[in-house]
Amino acid sequence: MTDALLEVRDLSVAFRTDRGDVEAVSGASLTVHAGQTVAVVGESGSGKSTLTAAVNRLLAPNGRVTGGSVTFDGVDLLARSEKQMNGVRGKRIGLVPQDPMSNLNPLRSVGSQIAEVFTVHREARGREAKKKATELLERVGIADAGRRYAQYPHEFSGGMRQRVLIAMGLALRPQLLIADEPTSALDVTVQKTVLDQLAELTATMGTAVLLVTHDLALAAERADHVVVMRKGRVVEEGSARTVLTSPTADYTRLLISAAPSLATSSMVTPPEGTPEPIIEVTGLRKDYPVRTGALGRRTPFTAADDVTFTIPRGTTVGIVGESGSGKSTVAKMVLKLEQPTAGELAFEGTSVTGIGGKELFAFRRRVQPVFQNPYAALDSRYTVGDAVREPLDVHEVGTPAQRRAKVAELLQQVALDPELARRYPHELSGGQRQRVAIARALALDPDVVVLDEAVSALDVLVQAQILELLVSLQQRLGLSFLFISHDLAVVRMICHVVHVMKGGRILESGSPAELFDHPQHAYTQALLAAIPVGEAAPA
Amino acid sequence: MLRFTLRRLALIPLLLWGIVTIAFFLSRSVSSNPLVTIVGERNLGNPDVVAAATRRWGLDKSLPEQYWVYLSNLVHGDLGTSFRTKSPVLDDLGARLPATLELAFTALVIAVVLGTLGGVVAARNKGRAADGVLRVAALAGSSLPVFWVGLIFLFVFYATLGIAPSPGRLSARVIPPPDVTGFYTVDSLLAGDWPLFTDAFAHLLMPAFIMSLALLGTVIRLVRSQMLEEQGADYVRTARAKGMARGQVLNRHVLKNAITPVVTLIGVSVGLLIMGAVLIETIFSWNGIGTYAVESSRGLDFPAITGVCLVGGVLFLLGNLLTDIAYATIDPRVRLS
Repeated sequence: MTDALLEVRDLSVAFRTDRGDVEAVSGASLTVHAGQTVAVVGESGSGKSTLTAAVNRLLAPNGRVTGGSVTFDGVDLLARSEKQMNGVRGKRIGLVPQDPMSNLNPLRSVGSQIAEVFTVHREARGREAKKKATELLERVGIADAGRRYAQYPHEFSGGMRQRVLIAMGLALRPQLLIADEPTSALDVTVQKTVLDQLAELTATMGTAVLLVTHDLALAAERADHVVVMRKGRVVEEGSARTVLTSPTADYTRLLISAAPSLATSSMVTPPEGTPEPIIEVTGLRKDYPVRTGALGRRTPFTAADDVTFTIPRGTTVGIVGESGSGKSTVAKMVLKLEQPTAGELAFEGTSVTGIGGKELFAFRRRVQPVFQNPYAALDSRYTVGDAVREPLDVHEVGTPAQRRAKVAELLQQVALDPELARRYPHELSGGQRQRVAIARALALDPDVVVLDEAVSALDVLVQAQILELLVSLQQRLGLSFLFISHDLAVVRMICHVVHVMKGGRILESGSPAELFDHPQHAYTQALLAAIPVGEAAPA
Repeated sequence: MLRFTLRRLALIPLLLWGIVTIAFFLSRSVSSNPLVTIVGERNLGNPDVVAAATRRWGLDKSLPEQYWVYLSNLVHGDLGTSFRTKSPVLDDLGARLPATLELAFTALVIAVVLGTLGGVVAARNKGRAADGVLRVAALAGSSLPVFWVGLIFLFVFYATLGIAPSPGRLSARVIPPPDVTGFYTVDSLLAGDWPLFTDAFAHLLMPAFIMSLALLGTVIRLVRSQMLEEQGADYVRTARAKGMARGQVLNRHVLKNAITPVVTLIGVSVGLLIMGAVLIETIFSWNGIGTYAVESSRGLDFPAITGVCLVGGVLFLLGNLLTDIAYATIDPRVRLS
């Protein structure tokens, strides 16, 4: 191995907050050699992103390096002036940021934002810069790059935007590329192609990659060397294989065991006998009017088509699919938040397709939702107690004293301290908030809970806890779940029956074991193949 | 975009009909008699004159009849004749509108230019003295009543210090430029009369500045908060990671994104400016729509009142339409439909 390209030694970073300084990174060290890929793995709040931001000297205004050194190509980056850093950023250290939706300026064309890298570093100007940017777009696999150059970010899909960001990061063939969760916002199949592309480009350019991710399996699959961080400290590092197969730190072991993978065994037992269906969905279809073309003609867009399935009482039925597959539309129709264009929805054997008024009000008590984003799903001005009590108030259940008692009981049911009832959502962690959302859904003793990506925004350890909670609630209360997710591994762990959706249709159905061990449909096979399993693909 | 514009333009007559109807009936619901304006106080005692005037001006007809006559005249481009000036309302408005537009347009330019500048300076110096001063000034600008500020300014700069010109569009005994656009500043330049231009411009500056105050304060605050918000956006950090200096990012990325909402604000404020014209023009003896409105309503000059409402409506609707088009031009995500 050659000399180190990037050497971070005992780096500490602190953020100034209202409650004094908070140390986000504490004495972390890592080394990246030329051409090597090093992955930094950790949960949210582990300091992994802060560490890489410090390398680039792009910490948030309230953050500062309190100790240690960052040596890049023999030069101490922390001692450089801001002006000198401008010459390093983009040219010698590239960045591929996390969220492709927010990292491009929405008011400027995609091409001009790539060309800017050339003009800023005076590598090319005007037409020359445009030509180079167009070539880059082609290289990252965007067809019709010449036309695409002038388009705006909102005209690109998430995967394509991420390619644009990769093109930006690699424009000047930097020696080091910092890729901060480059694919966590993307569908699994898109993630695979984007990562393949990134790997191929960095290999040909000889660029070293510092890959930040929460996904241990992905890190192990893509990196030569893995660094595991927790609460600002490096708890373990080593070659990818060693870390994954024989971890030394307890925390790494915990992470590995909590991470859902296709090898994880199911958490649920099959129901006894054949329970009668509580929800029956037949030929459900949803069209949305969309205006297209210069004249704004209305053409219907079919979000869901001919969707048929049942939810047997006391079981969990999963729907997996990528974004745009129509799975959330189905969830909304089952919740009766959207009216189907065609098809039938029956609850306990009675049609509820066209109900309204009192009947709908009664239906809402029996079927409750839990949504994806625990941050957005709770009103920030409601206390936890208010949020959980609201359904009881709306449906006028019991006396005020009884409602208060019920709130305490519900919070205990989701393993939260009833004392939390007086707190506000921003005082809680993501996992706690999702427990509150579940408690709120359970307030009216529903029969069915629709979980739309309910664990997707959570860290693996928290996710594992919530999944356990859901399983135990099902056993205790006899709940039926409709579990919507993009994550096949999670679905495999928790569902009795799984339906795979794509383009608004159910492609394939079956028990998790059948579906994942013997996928029939090519799409299901592709989905399964795209999941990182923690081993580098054979070259 | 063209389709959108045409559709919106097609809607304008309908909206104007609504405005005219409300203005017509509202002004006539006042239980006082416009005849005094028509015939003058001295003739009010003369029943023959009053009867003749009542007939002549159609006031003997029932209200629905009067309304119908007004509407059918309006369709032919006739806004009626002013009770007070005895000349067609359309001519009156035509003569006075440019004065108001010149004032309002200048006020708009001042508000946008100074407001953006102030907002950027405040945002760049967040938490420092300059920011504090600008924030207080902005708050004062949007909350102090214009008529009070107008009088104070006149007292200080004209009456006491003598550095500002007298109220009015031009100095006394100065002859207006030949009428081309009706904007004295533009017309004087067209005529190549530089001294006349400086005179017109000097007279324009103070009322326009005071007219802009409310909007100016709002623009400063909006630009400041937008700048601060945009600076924290992910794409700004990404631009910095390309190697761009802070100032470069500010100029090339942040500024445009931050001032986009100002466009919307302007559209909404067109109505505000026209309303403000009533007060400003009265204080500064500005012979525009505002003074015309005040004089007409004092004498219950029905055709003139309705005419002013109509012009205000047209300006407001056009302002909003232009805003929508401008917004769609700046922000590619906005699709007009």
